[in-house]
Amino acid sequence: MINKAFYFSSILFLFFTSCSSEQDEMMNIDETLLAMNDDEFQNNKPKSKIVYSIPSPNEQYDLLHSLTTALIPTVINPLSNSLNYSTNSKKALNFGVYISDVAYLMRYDQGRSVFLDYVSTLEKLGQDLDITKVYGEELINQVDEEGTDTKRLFKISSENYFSIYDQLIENKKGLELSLILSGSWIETMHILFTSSKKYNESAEVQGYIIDQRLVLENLIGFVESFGEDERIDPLMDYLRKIGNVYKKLKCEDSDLEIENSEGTVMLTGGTSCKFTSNSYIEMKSLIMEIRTSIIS
Amino acid sequence: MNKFIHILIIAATLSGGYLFAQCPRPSKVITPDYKNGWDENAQSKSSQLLPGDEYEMIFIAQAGIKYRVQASAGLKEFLEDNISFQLVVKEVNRIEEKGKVQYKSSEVILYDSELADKDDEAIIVTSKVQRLSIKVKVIREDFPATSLLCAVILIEAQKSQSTGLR
Repeated sequence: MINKAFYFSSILFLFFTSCSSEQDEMMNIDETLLAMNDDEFQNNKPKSKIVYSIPSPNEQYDLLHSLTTALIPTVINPLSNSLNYSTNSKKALNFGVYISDVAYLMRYDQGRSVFLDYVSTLEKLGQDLDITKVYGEELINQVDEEGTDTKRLFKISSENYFSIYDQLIENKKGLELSLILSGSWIETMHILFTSSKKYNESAEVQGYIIDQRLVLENLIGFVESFGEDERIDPLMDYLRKIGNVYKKLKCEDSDLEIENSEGTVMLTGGTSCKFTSNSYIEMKSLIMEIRTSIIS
Repeated sequence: MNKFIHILIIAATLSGGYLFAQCPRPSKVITPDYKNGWDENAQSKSSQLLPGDEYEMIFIAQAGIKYRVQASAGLKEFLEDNISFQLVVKEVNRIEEKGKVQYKSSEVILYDSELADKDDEAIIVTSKVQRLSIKVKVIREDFPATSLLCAVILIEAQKSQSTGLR
């Protein structure tokens, strides 16, 4: 009887103390907020912010296609591998890899049935990443209707990228978006290197790989803007390693010239960089190593 | 009532601006000029800002691609006059004096909507890939300081006819 009374009074005590402390806390927060005058409010709100944009894989492959029209079908990550990805990080990274692959295949006119295979795989992978409204019946019907128009299919894959981006931002999934964009960029780099072949074999594609150093800077800025997280740490290590190889490039600066012609600003000059045989091989191996760890 | 609005604004700010409905995609506010060969670029952005806030967006301008930048801001009604923007390139100069090499970074304003004559749009083409900044500011006078607005930056792109790719 005494025990029961003790437990009962203990529960009552805990109930009231926890309620009152929570209430006190809420009161304090309210008071703090209400006590702010206009000046304090102005001082507490963010004054400026920097955001980083990253070219979509569609934009990247549009440029690649203007440099080489040769498709390498074996370069992509097989869709069958999607069954092996069990953690959310792996799913997000490889979601990005497949987004990149499908953009590549659509730019190289691989058609409706290939697209539909990707829609099916991305839908399954996306379910665990809160990407649920993108790969529905509406998209399948759209792809079906535009089946023979390869330009239109490429456009749909581009619009699809916008929708995924928007939905992840809307669902506050910055971390997943960081992983997706990084996986996508690594895959793009892998495809660029494969298309570039050996050192100096395709100078234009090689030049385009060098241009990616600026995309990498923005990607790192983007990932860092979502704060530190243990799931992102290994990825940041990879990105920084790639950045360190870019720092080894031979670069020359020339004055930036700015001309205004009929309302268009034209920029010429700036920094030019080149791979040496060693830095090209080092970068290619590093990308291969990182890509393998992502898709395996 | 004012205090209540403050609480809402602070809560929105602390939650990363996600409390209110998301801002629309830029192409929903400014229609891309598809007829003249422009296409919406994936680097376009929309964001929630308070009047007077500054927002810098760093984007990649690929070599040989022509970009057009436009901005607008508002709540329900979006107007280009609600926002000003600058297109900026950062230049790093190597300076050698008395055997010492130093690098100095400076910003060059390529376009300023406040100084532009007519169209509030910047068109740019570069011969080499560049990281460009778009600095936007919601014009304070037009809105109460506590109005959370949507600012959109539309970037359109088309392959440049004049310069080729590289």
